Amino acid sequence: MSSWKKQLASQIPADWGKEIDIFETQIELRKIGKLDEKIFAETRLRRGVYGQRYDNGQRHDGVQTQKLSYPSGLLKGPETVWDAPGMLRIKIPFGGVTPDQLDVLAEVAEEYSNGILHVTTRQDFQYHYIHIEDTPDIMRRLAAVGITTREACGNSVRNLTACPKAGVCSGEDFDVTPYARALTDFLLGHPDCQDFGRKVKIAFSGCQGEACGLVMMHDMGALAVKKTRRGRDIHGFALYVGGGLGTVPYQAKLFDAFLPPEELLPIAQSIARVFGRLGEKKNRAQARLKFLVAKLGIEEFRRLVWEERQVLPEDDRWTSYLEQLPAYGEKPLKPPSTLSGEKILPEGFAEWQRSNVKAQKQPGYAIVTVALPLGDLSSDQTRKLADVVRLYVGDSIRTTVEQNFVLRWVSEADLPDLYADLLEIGLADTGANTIVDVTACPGTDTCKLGISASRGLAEELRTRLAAKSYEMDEAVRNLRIKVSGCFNSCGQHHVADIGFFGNSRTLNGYKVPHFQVILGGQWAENAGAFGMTIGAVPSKRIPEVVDRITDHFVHSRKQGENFCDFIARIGKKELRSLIENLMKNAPSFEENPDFYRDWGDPREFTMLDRGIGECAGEVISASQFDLADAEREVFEAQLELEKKNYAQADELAYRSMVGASRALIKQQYHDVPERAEIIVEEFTLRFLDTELFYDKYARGKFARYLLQRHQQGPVHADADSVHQLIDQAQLFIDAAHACYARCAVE
Amino acid sequence: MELQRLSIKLFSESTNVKPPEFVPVFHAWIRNQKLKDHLMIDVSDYNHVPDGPGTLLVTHEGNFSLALAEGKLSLLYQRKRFLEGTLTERLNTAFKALLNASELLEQEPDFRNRLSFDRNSFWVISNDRLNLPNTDQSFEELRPALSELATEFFGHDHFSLNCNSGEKERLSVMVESSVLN
Ligand code: SF4
Repeated sequence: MSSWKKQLASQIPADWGKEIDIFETQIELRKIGKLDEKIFAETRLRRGVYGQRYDNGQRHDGVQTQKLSYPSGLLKGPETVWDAPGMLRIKIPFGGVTPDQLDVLAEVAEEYSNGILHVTTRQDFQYHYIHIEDTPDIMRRLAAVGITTREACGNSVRNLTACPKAGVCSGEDFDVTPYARALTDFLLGHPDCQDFGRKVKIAFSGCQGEACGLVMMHDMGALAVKKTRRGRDIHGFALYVGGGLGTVPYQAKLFDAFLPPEELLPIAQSIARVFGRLGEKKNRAQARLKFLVAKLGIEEFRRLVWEERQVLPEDDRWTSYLEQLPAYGEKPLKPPSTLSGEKILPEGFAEWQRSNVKAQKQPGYAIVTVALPLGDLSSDQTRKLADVVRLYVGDSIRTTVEQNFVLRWVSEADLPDLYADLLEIGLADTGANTIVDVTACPGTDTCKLGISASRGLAEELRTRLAAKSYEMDEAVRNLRIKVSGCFNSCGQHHVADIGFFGNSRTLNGYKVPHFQVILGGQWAENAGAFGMTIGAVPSKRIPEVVDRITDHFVHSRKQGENFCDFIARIGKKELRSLIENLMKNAPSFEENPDFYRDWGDPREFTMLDRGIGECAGEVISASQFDLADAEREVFEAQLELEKKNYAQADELAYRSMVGASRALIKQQYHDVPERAEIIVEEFTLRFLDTELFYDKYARGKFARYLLQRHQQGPVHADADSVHQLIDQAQLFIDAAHACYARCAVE
Repeated sequence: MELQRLSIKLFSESTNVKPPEFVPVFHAWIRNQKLKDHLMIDVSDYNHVPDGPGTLLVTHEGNFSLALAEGKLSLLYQRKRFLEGTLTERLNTAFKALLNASELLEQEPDFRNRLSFDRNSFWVISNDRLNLPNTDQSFEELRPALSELATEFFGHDHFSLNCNSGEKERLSVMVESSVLN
């Protein structure tokens, strides 16, 4: 029987292929109960395999909670049923994707998911309704076109975002793309990024004034700064740290006003080390980098990072990419052109052009936004979009944090034909980057933590606002609405002009879906300020809130006053009075049962479907991961033995013992070398000589198995000796687990 | 042939019912455990996506979706989990699930006299580009099983099998009876 593993072997980078094979083995280990459920949960999260609503095996049907009796009783994490459909997040660094990748993404969506690709607010893609056992093949198919899911979730460095207009924006200081790529590659799987208490989000921006990079709401944000010295342009970054949204938003603090490019990677690594070492691990609500920066103060944090920087071992990768920079640049597919006035324009073109097309810094070219309702597009559309991209721009397309695509390098004369082609595939919606283009997180549709239907509300607002967009005041048109299904802010509501996050209230004895109204967040200046909480309004009345607020803005703003300033000027009291009666006076259930349901969901509203979120992942130490790896290797040794591959089995069994020793040493210091000689020496010194490894009854007996094999070399002459070694390795690993637990307690 | 992931689709005769109307119906199906042989999980509304899955009933075994395609309402069953038996048996099981759902939908009080599916033709789609890619050879491999299925379903052997899916699309075969009911 053919397999994707065989079929794509030559197309997948060797290290990625090996990682996916390992993950597949970990799935098998979990199935036979040989991998702890929490370790497996964090392992799969770090491979982008996330939970989804109802995966705890129950769902409220509007009347009562029903048990979902999945065939296998196995769990893939705490309270997460093995067979329950899950989500798979796919990293798209800085949103850069190619038509060939789009083709494969489309194939995977229709074969394993529901034929939908969802663009997230971090420029990723997400698939929903995926079975965990399908994930290794999906990963292989994506890896074969250069896409990884590694560290898309879990306590790791998440997808790195950047302005989708980088390189073509007239306002940028310089193109941040190659730096974003270099930092992505450098941090992916980096040993210093494996021991975080929570995730780390990084963003790049080409300028200070616009919003595209949203640097100020990131754990780490790099803002391009160009200086001129002795007549020469010099590039650097204003580096910000400790920003973040979540329940309590934090603005990032300036770490360095002008960090030279050669320091970007080592400083990022130093920040990772300081965060890994000093960041909170136990209290998950306080574990993001923003809390550490706030606790230490930016000066002390900066001092610690630079101190770490001084002792970092040199790494060629810090600067090697800089040599390629002069050669970097996108080549347009077509020559520049202008849109002649004589051309007969398709119906609807002018409106689309007004909202979805921007001039590029390179004359004769345009940037086109393809607006995706709720960030969704079908497999069929994706494939056709890939062809459109090939036809007009070659491969220059990026996803955006507003859940859209942008096509760059569109030769201006092509715009009408491009519009017609997009129209044909249902991708020519107007109103991109306006109030109509509502952003929403998955909310109660698929998120385990969702309280209210963010997507349902977003769709309702989008439909209503689109219907009246022609008569809309220009000042209102340019506002942004963003919706999150709960306080966790994945919809980025804090930085919208009008933001909402889901919560609930009890009215007339019933739970009623609500949205908290947040006004005046600043989208510009890289998300320069957060909005003001006004009050919680029942979900079904939110469209009325939008009408009242926007009407008031139109009628009461001062000449030239923008929305943020307007909100700040009139203040919370007046704003609240504007919506106060919508917060009260609920109709009775009998009078209007629809009031007690959420948008797009005919069930009576309930909070009972909320599960345990996986955003925070599981705190698993680097040692625990290494011990799990040792378990996997001894399992693989067994498989090789069964295939009569004695040499491989022998090597794997030995390696598993060395790996388990390394895990123990890591408890004491981080930078454990890879070489077996050094590991065994360190193990002897730190765990045998000190008797830390000693068991009450067996004393140092199991350690001798490692030392014996290490000194005597391979034993693979016959099946019996290898079998014996594998048994010994298993005993050694069990003893290492026990030793780890004892040391952890101490 | 190891084809496990496959889809089967029926079109409705007229389009008097819009896909969003199925959202409350599917919710009620879950509440009332309407499908005995499927573990129904949730309902998803993708009607904002042109040519998307429309209204989706997600089950462990396979998804049912109602969408507008080329102006017509279609009911698609996407089998996801492993089916026992030969290819013909697997096709049969999937087809039965689709027919059962189509009948139940037609009987829904809200849709009575408004919804009827055309059973003179159906589409079979390979959801597995590895084991059954979109090639002439795959079509020929599939032909015997499809013919068996069609003969049994139509009750005669006057039907045609046509495959004209685009190069990048999945293998998709239209099975059409030449005897009008
Ligand atoms: S904001 Fe809340 S509901 Fe929305 S995706 Fe994040 S955790 Fe889920």
